[in-house]
Order: sequence, then structure tokens, then C-alpha cells
Amino acid sequence: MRDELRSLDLAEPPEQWADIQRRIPRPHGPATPTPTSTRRILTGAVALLVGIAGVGFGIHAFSSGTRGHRTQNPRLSQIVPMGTDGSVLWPARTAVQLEQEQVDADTQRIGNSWLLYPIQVVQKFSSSVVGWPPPAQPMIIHGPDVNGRPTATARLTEPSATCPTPTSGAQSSVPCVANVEVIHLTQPVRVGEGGIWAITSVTSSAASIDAPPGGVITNGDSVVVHSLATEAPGTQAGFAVGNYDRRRNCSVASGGSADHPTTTLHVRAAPDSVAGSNCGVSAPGYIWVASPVNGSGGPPSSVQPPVADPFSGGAAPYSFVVAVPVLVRIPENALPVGMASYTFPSGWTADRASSWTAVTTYAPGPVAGISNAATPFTLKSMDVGLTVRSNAVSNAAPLRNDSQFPLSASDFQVEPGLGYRSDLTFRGNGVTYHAQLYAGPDALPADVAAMNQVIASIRFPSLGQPGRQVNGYSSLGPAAGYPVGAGTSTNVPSPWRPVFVLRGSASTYALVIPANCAQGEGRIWGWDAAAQQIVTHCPNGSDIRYRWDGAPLPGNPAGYGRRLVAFPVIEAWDGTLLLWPHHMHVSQVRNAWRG
Amino acid sequence: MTGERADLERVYREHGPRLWRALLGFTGDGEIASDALAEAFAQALSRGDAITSPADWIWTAAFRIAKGELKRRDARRLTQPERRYDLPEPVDHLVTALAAIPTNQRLAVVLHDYADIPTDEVAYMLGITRATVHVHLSRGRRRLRTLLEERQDA
Repeated sequence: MRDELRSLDLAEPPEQWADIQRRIPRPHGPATPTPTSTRRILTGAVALLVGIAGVGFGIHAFSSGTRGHRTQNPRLSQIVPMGTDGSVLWPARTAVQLEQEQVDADTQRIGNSWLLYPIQVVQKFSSSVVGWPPPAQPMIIHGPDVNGRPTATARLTEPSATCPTPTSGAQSSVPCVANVEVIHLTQPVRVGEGGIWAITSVTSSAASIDAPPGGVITNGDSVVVHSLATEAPGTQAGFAVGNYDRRRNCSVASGGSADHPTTTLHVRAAPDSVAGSNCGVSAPGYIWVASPVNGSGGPPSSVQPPVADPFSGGAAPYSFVVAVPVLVRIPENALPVGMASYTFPSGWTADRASSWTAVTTYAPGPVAGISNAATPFTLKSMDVGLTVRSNAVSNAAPLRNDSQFPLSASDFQVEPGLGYRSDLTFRGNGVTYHAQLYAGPDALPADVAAMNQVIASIRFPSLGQPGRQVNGYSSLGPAAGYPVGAGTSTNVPSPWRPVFVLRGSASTYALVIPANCAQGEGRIWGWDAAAQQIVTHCPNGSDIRYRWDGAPLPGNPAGYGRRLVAFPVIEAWDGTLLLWPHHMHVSQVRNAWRG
Repeated sequence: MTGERADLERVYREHGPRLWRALLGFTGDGEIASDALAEAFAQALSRGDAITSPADWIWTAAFRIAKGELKRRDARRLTQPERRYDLPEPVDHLVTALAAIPTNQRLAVVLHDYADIPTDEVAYMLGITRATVHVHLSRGRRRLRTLLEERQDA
């Protein structure tokens, strides 16, 4: 082989010395410091052993440009193949989920055998999504469609009970005409006996959507919906992207009033790098129009939008529901060619060149290493490297809020005497990280610049959805739902009771409040702004009151004389409030409230 | 600086031709080879005495620059550029065959089998382990030999 390669010696190289000298950059700005003897020794050794402390590296979410909404309807000429993401509306929306449903039906491991019978699928959909009784008319099974798949339709007629009731004796000028829903089904995974059935769209006499089932929408496109139900005030329309798998952390939803004959929906998901989500370059979703019989849907909560999305909690029963599945392409989330993502065990992500090394080691906790060298923990003079080590969450209050992102290489503090190494401590989703940045004295500027981009790309998943629990914290949702200088009640998932979140002058904390009055009836707790107290009115006429610091008022009924337990609450990088379930001392509570 | 420049010129005279040919074997493109070589030497000159082993540094830097340029070219989805260098026929055959094997295999073969760089140094230059270098060498040699034989038969 060496002999064959020797033929390279026949090629005559050009004389380049003059060209090389022309390329030398002219000096500008401060002169490069002369390396110290220590530095030279270290350079000669060309090794930086990262000890157990590891090298911690920074985080920061980079912001990418957002583009404005398009004003025209999308050209929805592209339809995803049946069985792939975005082709099915209910009860699953991804290919993986559909495959899993088919496997479960085949093995009869869980009780989903109803998916084998289209009539039972429609019955479940009717009762659990639309809130109507089972269909009175039989299913219509059609022959194979152009792709050889059997299809089926079922017609649901609106029950008379959902007709709007005239208010205060006024006569409605429009008679209540029952809406008709048509449910379209197919076998998305396997055709024939034993194949599961799923709903591919829902149409209605009351509304329509200018998008075909399975249509491909590009992020930022608009979709027009038409509502004919002017006699059904409270009609809403919206879209959802993702929201099918908590592990993927992709949940984008928007909706609002659609009382007008025509409503334009702007389908938009913020880029993952900005939203802290993990939607990727495409995610299944759906467009919906619906009219809840009883007005806006969703449980009364200060942190949940009052949207009547029938597939996300919903507000059944409805006068009508219309919906189509779509696939939303999000090109903003595509990594440039030659780039790859690295995700730390705790969930943060960074982008680096595919040719670089990105590894997680354990010493004993996880330590991330990203470098242009093969081994990020043993670096040479022309290497660049970044290590990030997570600290165990400390129980010692007060906890600090998250750092601001994106991070920058300039945030790192140079270690005295070690000009090539710098450190940074930062916090993300309530966890402290120690980062060390190494830029060898002979590192190429391009590699240093690429490392700066790695640092700038570090981003955390958003925990904005209330009830999510991670790193020992419980998400209370966006801070915007909790006014500063006041208290707001909310619920923390089991095993926690309802809590009252108080946003003081210095920081935020939560008081665990009793769920019931002495009579055993659940009551709603409110905030008395004048007295700065939390209060509930019991059926027997008595009040139960606690001060802002959790101290009970002297007039409380028996059993309500103990101080309320307080927990610290921090603000995450994206403005989400996170509750840390360890008691605060009363002095810390007072400092938090008064500053 | 004058002394460093003279030292680097000595390195250029001693290593330049072999480095350029190795870069040619790797990139298959004389333009990229010349550009990477010149850029590596220019950066070494701008660093003065901060580089302790100029020859090693320049070899590594030149191949990193060349690899980056190939990636950029691939990212722009450019096809193989038209060669502006008139290469002797054996070289042309060899370069064509080298271009047909995967990047890391090509790098390993060129650096070790042509430039006589030890495998542990090749491992450092490529950012991979020595064991992986041996795998790349084995596969690359086998593939290259097959390609050259096929060409000879044709």
C-alpha cells in the first residue's frame, strides 16, 4: 500500500512561501500576551487532566430569528402517508403510538381491544371527546380507498340537551337545529382483521377547516376556519402541536374565539432553542373548531388558558367538534449540516460540530465533556474543551433563581495563573452547574469560535406546564399567572395539597393550605389584598384566615391555629415558577415577602 | 520574529512538499491542499514562539483546515471541483481512488501510510482512539487496494 501511495510524490507542489507571508494577519488591538514559562510547560505537556471536579461549561439558549406570520393560506398540497406522524387524529397521533396500540391489541396486554372495532372507537370518541351519547345510526364501512385501506364513517347527531337555552325568557330567533358530526376512520397500521381503527378527521355541518387531513403545514403558515354556527356563541378554534408525549417536551397550543364566520389561525411554534422545547423539525398536531355548550372549557385556574380544545382536557359536551390532523414542519429547528446535538442526563442540550467529541462520564455524578479532541478530559495545546458538572440540589434556603440565557464565553472567569482555563457557575431548572472552559494556547481561532457557539447553544427544556416535576421541583406554571405582591392559589400534584403562592418583594414562596373547612367541604381560598391575608369562607359562616407569612389569625376555628408550612419557589430561566419541597424558616419567609 | 520566521521557513522547506502531497491525497483538490497548507503556516507564523513543536502543529492544523473546507464544500452541496492541477496519471488514479473511500479511512491511510505519522499521533489529529485508527487503516487499505485493482483491470 505504501508503494502505491508513493505515487503522490510525482505531484509537484506549488511554491507558497510568499503566499504564506501575505496571509499573516496584521497586528491589531492589544498584543497577544507572551506565554509564561508555566504556560509553556503546561503547553509542552499538552495535557489538561480534568479532575473529579470535571470541567463545567456554560449553558445558554441561543435565540434564533423568528419570522412573521404568513398572511396567505398554506399550500397544503402535501399529505403525509397514512400511519405516519400527523396522519391520524385520535386516539393517537404519532406512528410510534399507533404501532404500540397495534402491538397492545395483538398481545391483548392492555384493554385496548375496542380499537379493533370501528363502532367502539366512535362510541369512545363520542362520549369522551364530544360528550354525546353513542351514535344512533350504524357504521358505514366503505371499500378500500385508493391506497387499499378500508375506510369507515359514522354520523353522530347532536342531542337536544345541548341546544342553547334562551336566557331570561327571551325567545331565540333561531330554532335549535341539531348539528351532525361525521367521523372518518381507517386502519392506519394493518389492514384487515386484527388491524386497529383510528379516526382520521371529524367534519360537521356547523364548521369547516381549510386544511386536508394529514396536510403538511410549515411553521408560521395560516389556516382559515369557517363557522356556520352563529347561533352557537362561544365557538372557539385553535391548533395544537405535539402535546402527545411528555418525554419529548413538545407542547404548543393556541386557541380563542371563532364566533365570526371566518377565522384565521396562525400556526406557530417557537423554535426549540427559544422555547426550551424538543419538537424537532416536524411534529404532529391538529386544527380544531368547537363550540362548548357551557362556554369556555378547561378547569378554572389562574395558569391555564380558558381554551376549549376538545383533545386536551376539553369542555364536553360540545354543540359540534371539527378537527383534522396535520404535520407541522419547523425548519427553524433543523441543525446546519455538519452539526449535531448533545443532551446531558438532566436534560440540557448543546449543539456542536459532528466531528467533535461530546461524552458524558460519571465522577460519580454526570460530567459532560465537549471538545474538538478525542478525549475532552485530556486536552492538548491546540485543543478547546468544555466540561459541565452538575451539583446535587442543595436543601439550604434561600435557593436562587436560574441564570439568564444564553450564556457567553465572556461570562467565564479566568482562573488566576491559568490563562487558558476559565470557570462559570450557572443554574438551570433549579440545578447548579459548574463549567470549565479550556482554550489551549495553540488553539485555532476557528475552534475557539466554534466553542463559543457551543456555549451559546446550551439550553434547557421548559417546565412551563403546571404539574411537571423534575430535579425535585414541581412546576407551578408561568410566573405571569402570579401577580407580585399578592397571593394566588393553585394546586401542586400529589402528594402535595393546594398551595397559596406569594410573590414577595425579594422572592417567592408557597404556603400549604388546608384543603377543607372543618365541615369537610372543599372551599376556594382567596386573597384579601387589603389585609394581606389568605382567607376562605366556610359554609357555617366562619372565616379561616392566615397572614402572608402563614401565621393563623386568632379568630380561626379550632383546628386552624397552626402556622402554615412554607416552601421556597424559584423562577426558572423561562419564567416558570418551581416549588422546592423543603420547609422554610419563618425568618426566611419574612425576608422573602418584605425584601 | 525574524528568527521564528526563518525557523518556520525551514519547516516549510522540509515538510511543505510532503504535507502538500498528503493534503492532495486527502482532499483530491490541489486548491484546497494549497490553501490549507498556506493557512496553517500563516497561523503558525502569527503565533510566534507560542508553538512548541511547529511541524506537528502545522500538520495537525493543515489537516483540520482541509477537513473543514471539505465539509463546507459538502454543506454547499458542491460537486467535486474541476482539478486545476495537471496531475501525472498515476497520481490522478490514486487521488480518484482515495476520494472514493470514507473520510476517516482516507485520512488514516494518507497520514500513516504516506506521511509515516505514528498511529497514536494520527489518533490525536483525527480526534479518535488509536484502536479506531487501526480499524480505519485496515478498512481503508482494503478498500483502496480493491479500487486500484479495479482501475488497473479496466
